[in-house]
Amino acid sequence: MADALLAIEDLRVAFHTAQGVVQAVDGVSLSVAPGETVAVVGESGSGKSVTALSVLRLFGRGDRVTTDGTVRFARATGAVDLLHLDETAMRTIRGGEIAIVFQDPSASLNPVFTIGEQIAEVLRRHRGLGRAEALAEAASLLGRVGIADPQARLKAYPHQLSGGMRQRAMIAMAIACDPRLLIADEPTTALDVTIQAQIVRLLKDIQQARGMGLMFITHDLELVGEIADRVVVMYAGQVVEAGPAAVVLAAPRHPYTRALLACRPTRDYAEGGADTIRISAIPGAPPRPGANGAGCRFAARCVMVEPACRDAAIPLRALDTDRLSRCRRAAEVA
Amino acid sequence: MAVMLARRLGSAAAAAFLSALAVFLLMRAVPGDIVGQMLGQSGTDRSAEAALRAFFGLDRPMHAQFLDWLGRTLTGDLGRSWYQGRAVTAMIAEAFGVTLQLALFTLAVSTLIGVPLGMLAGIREGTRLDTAIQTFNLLGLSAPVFWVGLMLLVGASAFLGWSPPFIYRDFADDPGENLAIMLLPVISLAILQAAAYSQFVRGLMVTELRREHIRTAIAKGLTPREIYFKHALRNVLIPLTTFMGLILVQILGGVVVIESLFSLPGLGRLILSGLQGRDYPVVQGALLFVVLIAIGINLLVDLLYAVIDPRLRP
Repeated sequence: MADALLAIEDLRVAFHTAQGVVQAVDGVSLSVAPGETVAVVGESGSGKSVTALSVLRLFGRGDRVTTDGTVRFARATGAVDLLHLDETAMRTIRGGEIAIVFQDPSASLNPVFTIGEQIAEVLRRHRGLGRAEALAEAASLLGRVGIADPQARLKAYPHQLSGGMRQRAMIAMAIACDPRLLIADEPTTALDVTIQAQIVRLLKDIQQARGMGLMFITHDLELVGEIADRVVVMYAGQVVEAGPAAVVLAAPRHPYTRALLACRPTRDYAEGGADTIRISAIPGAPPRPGANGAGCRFAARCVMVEPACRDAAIPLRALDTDRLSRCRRAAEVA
Repeated sequence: MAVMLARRLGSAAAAAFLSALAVFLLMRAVPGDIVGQMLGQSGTDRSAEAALRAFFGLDRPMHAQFLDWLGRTLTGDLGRSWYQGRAVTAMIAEAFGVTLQLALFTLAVSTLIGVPLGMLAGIREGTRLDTAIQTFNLLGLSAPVFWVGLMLLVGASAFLGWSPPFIYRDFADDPGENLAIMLLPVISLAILQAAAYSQFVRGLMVTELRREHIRTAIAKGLTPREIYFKHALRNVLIPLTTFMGLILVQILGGVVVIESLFSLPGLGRLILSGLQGRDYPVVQGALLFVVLIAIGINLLVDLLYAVIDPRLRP
């Protein structure tokens, strides 16, 4: 943990709403090493996106949020706690040392500025480039993310590009200043299936070429196998399982992870091409954020639940050197 | 672009025709006419009444009167005032200079006050400053323009011992006098419009700052100044353009009252005095002129849209 690029420790994030306090993230710890890809997986409302946004303190305007814990980030000049850093220092980190790619590229780009202007802006802000230099660099970045005829695309407005191209432009913007850490918050969810794979491959390529740390937020376990070194599974604001991606996918040690894996669509091949695709789902719904009982938060939907599971909160236990599970019966999960 | 322009021009022409018809009919719907005014209560001389009606062409069928007026209007001839005998176009041109100056000054003052106030309130949403600005908006929107004008007039003379000059002077003739005359009317009109602007811009800003591309701008490490005055403002400008057109049209409507209060010889007073005397050519001509101006402003706003919003460019 000492040499981690990003180390989130016991992060708690609460939203104060008219209906009361919602504990969206409840004691999450995870780390990303330099050059490592960590996937954070979970359903909607699991707290995975809030965890990601907490790193850059990108909460919504008008949200009343309280945070607790530490988010240590290794800057070139030494480690800082991002939760307590002043705004001015935070601004040099945002877009410069840590960049983020959001879910919906159509909404994330400003509709009234050209793609070139929006990319050049980051370069001017963090690398002090002049207007012309920044635009030239923006063109080469667009080329880097696989956009054909980048020089012409500089002058395009977001609405003139396809969804996939917009997300490529967002990625170009994110990597413009060679950040040490890239956060991708469900970067493929809003895109066509055919485009999704391309975007994931692009992110992987860039991550490897530049040796960035990558925090990849997704609800899609399929993608985890393709991209991640390690995976952190979240449920109801907590980490329920963590470990090397290949190992966790092959042999999950939490019933929730196993259930998620079972939800992946499977195809039954039949004569004449009349294949059937089966999609199963985890019965029940995740608890409303913050509305949890005393015991295991997954108990209501778990097939392995025992009375003892509901008695007291279940701690996150180390199974071996690099695996964690929040299940009393972790050893029995298969 | 050409298609859009043609369509807009077509609908503008249709609106202009309907307005001409409405202006004509409205005038006739007002009880009494010039003949009644001239003869007064005592006028019981049937033959004199009929002769006068015939003289003004009021004895002809309504549609004939309308088509005649419309036809001449299309050639640019709005007729002559029944009282003064002067060409209506010349009277409008003279009065419009006053009204235009009043409207443009008001637009400038209210924009310069209202837009920054609204942006400030939106940026500082939920703070005391926001509450204070919204209170101003509410007061400004609810205070009647003629009352504000009257209070300013009374207040200026009671507390400052100052009154605006009585005789109207053109800016070209005497800039100092002209500005002194314009000061209070512009303030009276501008308070209302600044409040309207401020409230509108605040709402736009509040919505805008919650949009996802603003989160992107923050994530890029931009400063609040760049976020508010570049990324947010540029988007807010689009609906603001339409609003500016609306405000200008509203100001043109508001001048009728304020011109009378401050004795400014503008279009509002021309229409009002014409109406009192049932001077049909003057009222019809001036009203139609105001309507055409409003239509023209809306057309201009539509075209400006295409310049400001890249999504509407061909």
